[in-house]
Amino acid sequence: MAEAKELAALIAGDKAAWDGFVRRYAGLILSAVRGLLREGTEAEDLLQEVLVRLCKDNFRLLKTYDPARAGLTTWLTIVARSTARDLQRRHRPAQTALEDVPETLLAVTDVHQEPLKLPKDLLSPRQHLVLTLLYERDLEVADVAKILGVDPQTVRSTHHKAMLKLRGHFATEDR
Amino acid sequence: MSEFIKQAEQTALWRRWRQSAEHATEAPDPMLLAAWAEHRLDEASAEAVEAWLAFHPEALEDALAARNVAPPIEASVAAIARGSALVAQRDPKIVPLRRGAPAWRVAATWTSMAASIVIACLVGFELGGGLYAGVLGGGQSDIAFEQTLLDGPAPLFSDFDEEIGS
Repeated sequence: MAEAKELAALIAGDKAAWDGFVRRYAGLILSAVRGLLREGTEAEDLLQEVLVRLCKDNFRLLKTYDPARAGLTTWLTIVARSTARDLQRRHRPAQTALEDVPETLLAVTDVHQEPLKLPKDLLSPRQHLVLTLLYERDLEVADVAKILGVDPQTVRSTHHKAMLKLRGHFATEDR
Repeated sequence: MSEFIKQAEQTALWRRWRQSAEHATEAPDPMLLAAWAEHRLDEASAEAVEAWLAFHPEALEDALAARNVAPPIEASVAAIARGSALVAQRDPKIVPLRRGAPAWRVAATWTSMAASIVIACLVGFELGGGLYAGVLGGGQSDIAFEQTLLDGPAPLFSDFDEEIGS
């Protein structure tokens, strides 16, 4: 409640509310972006970038925050990390000059490939995410269940159904 | 990796699907992603977010990081001062500049400008017409003068010639 009032004051342009917000959440933002820093980037520069993004255009981004939908720390962490990733993308190293690439890498093999015919909705988004978490993030079923807020048995069943679908689909395709 | 998904066949199936599956394109905004991280979305909205997350591991990582927020790191005084300085103090003595005049004033300004231009044109036309008339008059006298030059000689010596002949 107090947080909502403070945010309302901040958006209305109350300087003291902004100062309080910076003091309270600077540490959280720094913690959120730790591990995403590129070489030569200072964490505190990134903090400044996040704060600029929050107050830009008369607090346009901050105004999109809705306390009824998620906690401020969750939302701020996502905003901070996405800002860090945007910066990473912007500061990608320059491409290698064409002359520096060995000729063997530039050789083009003319292999005709049939386009894959994959049904778009073969797996449901939930099934896809379950498989991503299990196979790409190497998470345990219990962890996946915790992430998705469901029972571990539901994760097992989702995985099983997804595998049946994939098996069936590729069996037909290979025939 | 847990025991039950270790089978090579299942992993191969997943990889084969992953390489060729189509990507969902619409990225959720941070609010939607935060709501997903806190399990506050209904099934349909959660599905839309999950469809995107399945192909964007970085965003998935961010959502998971948001769920388990690490303890804050202490920011330096300088960093906090820099952040605070992003929003300026509002001085009540300073009256903000009016950003736009009322519509009637804008209309009146443009009307008076247009009227001034019309009046200037009319006055110019009147003055220009008078001068032209003056120039035209001068032109007429020049034509009369040229006509005089082109006329034959005056009969001044005709009597003299007659006298010599006689």
